[in-house]
Amino acid sequence: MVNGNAIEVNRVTRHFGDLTAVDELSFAVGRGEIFGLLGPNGAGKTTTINLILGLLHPHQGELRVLGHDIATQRREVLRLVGYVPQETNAYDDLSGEDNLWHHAALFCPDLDTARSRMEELLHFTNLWDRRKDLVRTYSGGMKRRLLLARALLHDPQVIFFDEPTLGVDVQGRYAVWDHIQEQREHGKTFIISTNNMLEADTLCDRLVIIDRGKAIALDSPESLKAGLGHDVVTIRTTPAVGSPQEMLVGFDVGNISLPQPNEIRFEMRSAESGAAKLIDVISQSYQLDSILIAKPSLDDVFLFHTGRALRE
Amino acid sequence: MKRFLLILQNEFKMFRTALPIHIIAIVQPTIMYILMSVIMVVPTFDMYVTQPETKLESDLITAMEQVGSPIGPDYIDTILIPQAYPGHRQVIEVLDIDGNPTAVQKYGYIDSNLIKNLRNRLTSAALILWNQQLGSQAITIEEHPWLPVDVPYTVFFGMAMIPLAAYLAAAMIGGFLMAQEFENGTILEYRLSPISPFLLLTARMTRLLLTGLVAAGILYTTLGLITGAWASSILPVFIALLPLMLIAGCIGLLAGLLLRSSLPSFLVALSTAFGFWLFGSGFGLAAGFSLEFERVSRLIPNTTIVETLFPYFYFNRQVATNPGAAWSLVWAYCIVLCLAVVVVYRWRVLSKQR
Repeated sequence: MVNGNAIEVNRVTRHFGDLTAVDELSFAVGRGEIFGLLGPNGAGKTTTINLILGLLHPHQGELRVLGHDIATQRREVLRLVGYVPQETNAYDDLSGEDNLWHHAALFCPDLDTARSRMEELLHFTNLWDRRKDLVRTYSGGMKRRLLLARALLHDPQVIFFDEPTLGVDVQGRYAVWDHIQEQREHGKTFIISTNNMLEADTLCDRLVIIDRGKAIALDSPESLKAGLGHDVVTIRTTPAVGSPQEMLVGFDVGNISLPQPNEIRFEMRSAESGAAKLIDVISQSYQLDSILIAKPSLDDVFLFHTGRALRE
Repeated sequence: MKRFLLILQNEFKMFRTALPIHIIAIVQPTIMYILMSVIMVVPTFDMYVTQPETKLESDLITAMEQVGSPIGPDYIDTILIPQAYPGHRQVIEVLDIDGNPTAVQKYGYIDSNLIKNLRNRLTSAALILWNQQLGSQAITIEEHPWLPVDVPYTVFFGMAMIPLAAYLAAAMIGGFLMAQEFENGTILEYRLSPISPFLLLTARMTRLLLTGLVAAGILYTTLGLITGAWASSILPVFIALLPLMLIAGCIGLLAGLLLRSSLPSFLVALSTAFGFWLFGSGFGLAAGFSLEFERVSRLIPNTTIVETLFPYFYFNRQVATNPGAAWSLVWAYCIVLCLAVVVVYRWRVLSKQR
């Protein structure tokens, strides 16, 4: 591990009874990074965050936040981190501003600057005009933005954001992403837990893909996708191809699947250069309705490493 | 101090998150007192008596009307009705049978307690009448009341409800708010807060004590307005309530922390409040009941509080037999429960899940 990392997770394991929720997980997050924990529901993402925050006791391994050992210096760590949980846990019957005052009393080291900081964050999250309204009247996106403002109020260096846009509409989603990226410009480190590939792809500088508590890949989204070394080809024919494996003999393909009866999906190296030949072969026996050559997604990365789609 | 005041201010804003509970907890004892003082604790009662026809019968009725407290009101308000009154309630028919005044009791559905009350008063009336016939041999009854005037029972009843009001508000709101933090996930804010948990708990307890004082104040004012009985000194009355509210707040917080569900916490607060009230001199001084009941009652802090309040409503008459021991027990409860809250808070909120 490199000194000066925002987060260091070293061979951490956590069990719940017989279930191993986190299994010898290791990764490091640099300062000022937006780092993603990507994985399906139940992969161990939230457990990992809870371990880093000291809400859970690790059965093995070491966790450090900005150089502080969470096991022995938890209070120091808590001064330096902010957390937006998966479930919206604001006081619905208080105004947005009152929720922030509640947080300020519990977290802000300097109460004299809390008001100006609050005003700044309410403007930043576009909630200034609604600050006096009860939170129960806020939309899902507004609630997430309020929680982000709350998490930033005490000026933490590291912010944990569990499923930032869960249940948020498209417009709200982009607003939340913009706010995260803007805060990163101010030197904040974000650890984002998500099972949304677009979110991970768009936001994260680097990410670790977690499955069943284990880290199965760790790199930038671009490197992870490029590392697969192939494109993803989807063809539709009439009638459906009887034996795709036979038809694709001679091509450098893999992971052939049939998402629909008349649709074949497979990975292919240098698909763009081999496309003409592929079309010829298919057209000899079938009517080719469409062919789509795409760069791999993070779902393909997950599929490559686990044999399962992230959505499954 | 600034942070403490800000936390305290936020604590009071929380009333919006549980408005019905606040209304119930703060106002319920006062409403209960108003209703019960009107319905239950009236010293006199109306008695329907058939119209007398002879002097002897009239004398008996006059004697009945003279039955009363030596320093207070007469107990029986006679209402004369015709002889042929179709009785559907208790009716006394006064008769002169061969020169003997006779009171015939007729009653429909009334309970044994009311029959007892009625019979006691009739017996007293008979004694008055009998005594009048004795002439020079009449028995002279000297009465030496402890109090200068007869204080109506509504005063004791209301005074003994003041601790209930204070307790109920502190326990019920404390338990409900704490449980709600778990239900709404807002407890996470407390789990992650780097500030001292003692500051948070002190602020919450202060808020509960102040809320309890408001509830007690409302009942005290209502009691004064209804009965005209105001404490001779108000400050000691409210100071005496503080340890009880501390106990109540601790029990409420413990219920919320342990049960983590608002309805059961609410019920725990409610049941302990009424248990403490019923067994803690809520209906009369502990010394007036059986020895066994008194022993149990002395273990309940309400008894000590009621006995402490008593002189301020009853012409400075002391009733506490061993106030030092009683207050030591109350403070012991306070210390043990405060420690329990700290331990349980650390366990339920601050400790890492293993």
